[in-house]
Amino acid sequence: MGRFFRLRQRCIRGRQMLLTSRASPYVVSVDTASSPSGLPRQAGSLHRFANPGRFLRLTETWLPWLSGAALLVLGIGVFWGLWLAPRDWQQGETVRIMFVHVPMAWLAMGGYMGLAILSVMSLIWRHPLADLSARELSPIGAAVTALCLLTGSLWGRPMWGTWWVWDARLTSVLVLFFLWLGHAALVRAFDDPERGARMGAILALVGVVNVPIVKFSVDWWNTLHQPASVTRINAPGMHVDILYPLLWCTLGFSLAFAALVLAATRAAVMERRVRALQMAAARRADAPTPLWSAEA
Amino acid sequence: MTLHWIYVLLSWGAVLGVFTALAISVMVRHRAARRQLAQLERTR
Repeated sequence: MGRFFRLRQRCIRGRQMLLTSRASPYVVSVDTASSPSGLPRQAGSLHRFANPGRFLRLTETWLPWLSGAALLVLGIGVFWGLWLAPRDWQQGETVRIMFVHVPMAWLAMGGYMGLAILSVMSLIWRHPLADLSARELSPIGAAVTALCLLTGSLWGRPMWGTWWVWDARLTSVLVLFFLWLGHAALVRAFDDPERGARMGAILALVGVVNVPIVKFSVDWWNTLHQPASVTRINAPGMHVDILYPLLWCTLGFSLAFAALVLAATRAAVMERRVRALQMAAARRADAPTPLWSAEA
Repeated sequence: MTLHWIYVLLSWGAVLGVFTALAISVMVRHRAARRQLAQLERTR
């Protein structure tokens, strides 16, 4: 229990530092993890990342590698998916839409679980970076979910003969899209960013009930959408010539998604520091001039 | 080019286009924030 409160205190200090620190935005000299309170640093634990300065330092190193890896894997994925992969005997060339549709669907659901985890961190530990990451994650998650719906529709037209049906899978993914949009709008709707983050976190946790509905909708209801082809229990319902490029493209889009969220969070940390510095400058400009300095 | 290929290219184009647009917008934000921070640090 004591460890829980120490972690919470450190997160609160991190949040205060995000707003008030006078150190460089790139190298924050005060390190909450190595502890003004004299507590020993615990390597590998979560609170190490409650420090925005440390986050900026780490992402400055990680981001170029992550982005480079995403570009490389996606470059190979485009070539593999559009050129090397064979056409399907039933679907023909449209099977190539699966190489983008399925990763978007997995990222939409996985990203939402990430949002739920960030919301828990935000509500319980008041982790300063969890608020910012959740705020930056939701527009990207909404874009990915919209792409899942769009590519599904583009696949459905030649295969099912319709752009859209109100079956359980498609409808629950549409609800997921509205949850992403709702979160993005709600966290930006308050003048006080902390209040917006709290409201957004509650919405994200309420909406997490939709994720298993999306996942199991094809099992629970009779849907036009086919059941899962890649499961942990059974052998994949597709040939390896299709499965491998699908998994490769999923890896590439996941790396790109992670790089985008990290870069957006990094930009948000810097923007918040810009606002804090501008407010501090405005306060200094408004402060009355002391008498002794007038006499001098 | 068959109609199937048009659907395929539209799908891939939309996904890659949106990811590129998101990456560009994040880069622009990042550069603007970095420039503003450097400016504020100089004037402080």
